[in-house]
Amino acid sequence: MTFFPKFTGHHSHITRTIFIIPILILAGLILFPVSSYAASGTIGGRPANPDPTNERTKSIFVKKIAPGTQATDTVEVVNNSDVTKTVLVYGADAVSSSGGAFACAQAVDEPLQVGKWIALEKNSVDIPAGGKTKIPFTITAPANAEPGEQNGCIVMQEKTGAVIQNGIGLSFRTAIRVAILVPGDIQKVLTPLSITTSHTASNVIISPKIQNTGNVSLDTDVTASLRSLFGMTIGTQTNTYPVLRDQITEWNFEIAKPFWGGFYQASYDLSYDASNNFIGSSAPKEMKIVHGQSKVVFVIPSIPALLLYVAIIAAIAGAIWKLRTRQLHNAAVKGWKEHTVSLQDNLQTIAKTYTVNWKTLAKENNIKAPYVLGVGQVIIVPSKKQPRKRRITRKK
Amino acid sequence: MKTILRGALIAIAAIVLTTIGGAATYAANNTNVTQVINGGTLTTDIRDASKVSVTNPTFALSALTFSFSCQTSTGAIGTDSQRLYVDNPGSANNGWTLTMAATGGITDSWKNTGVTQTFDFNDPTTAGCADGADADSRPGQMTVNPSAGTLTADCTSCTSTAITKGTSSAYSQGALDSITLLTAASGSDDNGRWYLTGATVSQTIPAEQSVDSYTINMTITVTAS
Repeated sequence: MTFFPKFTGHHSHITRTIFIIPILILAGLILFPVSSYAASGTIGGRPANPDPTNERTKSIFVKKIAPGTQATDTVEVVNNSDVTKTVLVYGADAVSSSGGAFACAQAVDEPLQVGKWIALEKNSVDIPAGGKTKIPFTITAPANAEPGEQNGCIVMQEKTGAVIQNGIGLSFRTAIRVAILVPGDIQKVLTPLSITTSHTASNVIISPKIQNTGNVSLDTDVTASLRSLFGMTIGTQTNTYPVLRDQITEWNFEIAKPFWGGFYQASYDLSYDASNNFIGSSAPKEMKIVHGQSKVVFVIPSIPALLLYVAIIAAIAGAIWKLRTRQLHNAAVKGWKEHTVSLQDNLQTIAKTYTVNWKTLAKENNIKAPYVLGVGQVIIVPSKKQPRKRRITRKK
Repeated sequence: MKTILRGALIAIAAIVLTTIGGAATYAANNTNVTQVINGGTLTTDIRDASKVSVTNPTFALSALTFSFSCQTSTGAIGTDSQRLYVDNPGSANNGWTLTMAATGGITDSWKNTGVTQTFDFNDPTTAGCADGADADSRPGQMTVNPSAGTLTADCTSCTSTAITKGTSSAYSQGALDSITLLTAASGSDDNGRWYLTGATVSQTIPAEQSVDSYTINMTITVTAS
């Protein structure tokens, strides 16, 4: 007995198709995740032996090294691509990027500080597709190492350089921060420097600038707020950033523009652990709060708010105009007296008699076209009569 | 006809056996099935709209005509077909930075083929129009404005919260050698994938720069911090 069907006769081709299609679908389903992984990312790495008591050591290296002594660890380098790659792995000095962000010196830059302290067992490895390898390394703090925190990097980079035609060619690399605490007099000091604001179409950007004037980096909670001038909070945002020693650091916090616009106060606060704990320590913290500068900022109202403002202003202006007209009218007719229409009167003769425009007279007495007056009708007229001869008008 | 039906039935049976059979076997033995998903590694690269990594990505700046005056060429890093990706698959749990610097270091420059003509990317003298502040004798300065770009979270469960785009900055030799494109605070998603497009680049071209095609290689670094 055979498991597979026997394809015979003129139906064999159709039968074979019916059988093969599901198999191909299955194969596709099995192979699809492999394709997805292959497309994702390039060269990466991570600490191979994180300290279970320090969460931060899962992503960076954290070491305490006395001057003249050495620490060891291992970096795991991963090839996420679908081809074998030659990867350069090297130590580099930490440098400050724009805004005070942490960055690493280039491969061509000669290490002078922590990059020089790092010695990797290998600086070049071939890693198969989807594979990984571990590279041990040592960090030796020189005898004259200054107390405080020193930073460097372990960098992983594909060996082949970019081929560029015309313009900016890009190469990529992944780096892991190496934070070293050299024991001694530890100083933790943050100094707020300034606050600036700017706008996008929908957000107010609050940019605090601070300086770490101590000798260790500080994981700092930075809270930027936008409040009304009466203190009501409109929006607030808190992020935690490492602020490196000696660095001036600046961030952009985007807070949604208030619907109504107007004047608001932008401000920021800093909070950091002032105890002697080092990066990632689980020991109790002594949080210190530092208030930064504040600034009054004008926010342009949103379009709907602007339209509402225009409508409200128009309504108020209209009401004022109407009130004023009424007041003027009242003032104008104040002191007018009653006049009883006689047989000789019509609107024009009365108007001439009292030196007033006949239209005004008609309007004040609510007389509409064809402006007919009845004998004995009482209308109001200005109190002073023009000293002129009255004309006899036709009888109505 | 019977043969067709038999073939179809066998195919369906094959699917059922392949997909369900394994699970049924575990259930019968009362085995606890465990699955460990380890974190990946923090990486960055350029990918197209289908998320396929682009080999040797290049971003061209606007072509200019020879001029007796200093002029500016513009362009962008990150387009819809060449997206600047950052993957953090549970690797950096306290934030990361994405920075860009010249691969050749602070003395690097724009070069033509054969390196017979060059101009600078980091001389701040008169905004790059004159030579002066640095050690070389080439004018020219590059400005990068990441905040003009768009950051997109490219996964179902992650957001761009606590990831900020860098402010517009110009390279200045010895004073600003690296420009921050993105900064992820510790509150950013530990499992996420994002891409940046439309970060503008402008380069001042010195007056009377020779007619030629010029290139410079920049390195983008993602660093767990």
